[in-house]
Amino acid sequence: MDIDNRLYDRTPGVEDHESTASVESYTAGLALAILLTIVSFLVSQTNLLWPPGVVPGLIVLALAQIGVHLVFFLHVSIGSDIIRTMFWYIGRLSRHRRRDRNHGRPQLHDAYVCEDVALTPLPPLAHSSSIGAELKRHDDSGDHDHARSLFPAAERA
Amino acid sequence: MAAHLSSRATERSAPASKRTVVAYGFWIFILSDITMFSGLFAAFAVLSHRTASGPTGLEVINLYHVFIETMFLLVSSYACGLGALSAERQQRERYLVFAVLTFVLGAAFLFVEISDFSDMARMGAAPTRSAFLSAFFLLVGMHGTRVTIGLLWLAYMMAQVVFKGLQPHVLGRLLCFSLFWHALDMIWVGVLTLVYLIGAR
Repeated sequence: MDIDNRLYDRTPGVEDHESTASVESYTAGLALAILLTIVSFLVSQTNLLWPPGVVPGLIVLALAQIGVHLVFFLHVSIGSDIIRTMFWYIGRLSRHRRRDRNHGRPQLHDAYVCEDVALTPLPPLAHSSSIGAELKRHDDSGDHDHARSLFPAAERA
Repeated sequence: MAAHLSSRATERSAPASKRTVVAYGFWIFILSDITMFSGLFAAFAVLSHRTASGPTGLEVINLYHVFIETMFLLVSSYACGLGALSAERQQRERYLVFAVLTFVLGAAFLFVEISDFSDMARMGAAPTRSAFLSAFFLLVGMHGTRVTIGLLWLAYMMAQVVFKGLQPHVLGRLLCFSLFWHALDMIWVGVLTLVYLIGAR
């Protein structure tokens, strides 16, 4: 139970128990940040870059630097929960929309989709065998009675 | 299976841990801070050529100092990250060493920035001289204010670690401080690029 709660109770940038932060990641971040800073100064002070391209180049370098800070210092990465959750919800929504177009489901279904998307937890990476598989089956079958029975708490509310 | 899942669903509707809620709220604060800075960036971008025939960016900016400032801030962020790692591992002395390093580098950044500001004011490039300089001092000064607040906060956190130790609630506050300090570094990347590198060309 403890492990499950930890999997769901996470904030971007917070590594509770499976921390990706390490001395190596901070050092790599520092090295990349210093490199990007030096390149930015070089680009702005010399004619290394085609002159009209200097300002766009500096902006690209700044965005890269912000990315380095996000990934190596703040640990917000493509593997982080918030990004994964976002993609997962987008995927779910588009699957439901597709199904709606094909079958012309009634409004009841639409209401259920909203509830469904808001309440369904993200299948955890490590534990996808149990709840993930169950949700996937629900997705594929489109059987709403079955899905509803997974969340009696939602039904009561 | 259904019973197992439903019990999990009920558990999940319980409030999240305080640490999670606080860190999430702090992220929202950081995003709101970045939103505020975006307004200042926009103001600077619009006003950067309105020099009222006063000094231009090229004349008042010392890029050598700016490079030193950037390095101070980057290494300070690095030390802050290593400090957070040691705090997580309950290494109090190590944390304090990194916190002092973070503080000294942050203070060095602030020292160079303030001495540059006073040099500019002596050269007649005060905030009242032109719209460009008003926007410049507002944007860069706002970042400097954040660094000052960060330094006070860091001193307070060091005192907490000395007197209370690395207890869970102190760790939560340290986490917020790390987020704040790294976010300041990200804002500095924007200041460096827009104000200094593009502005002093």
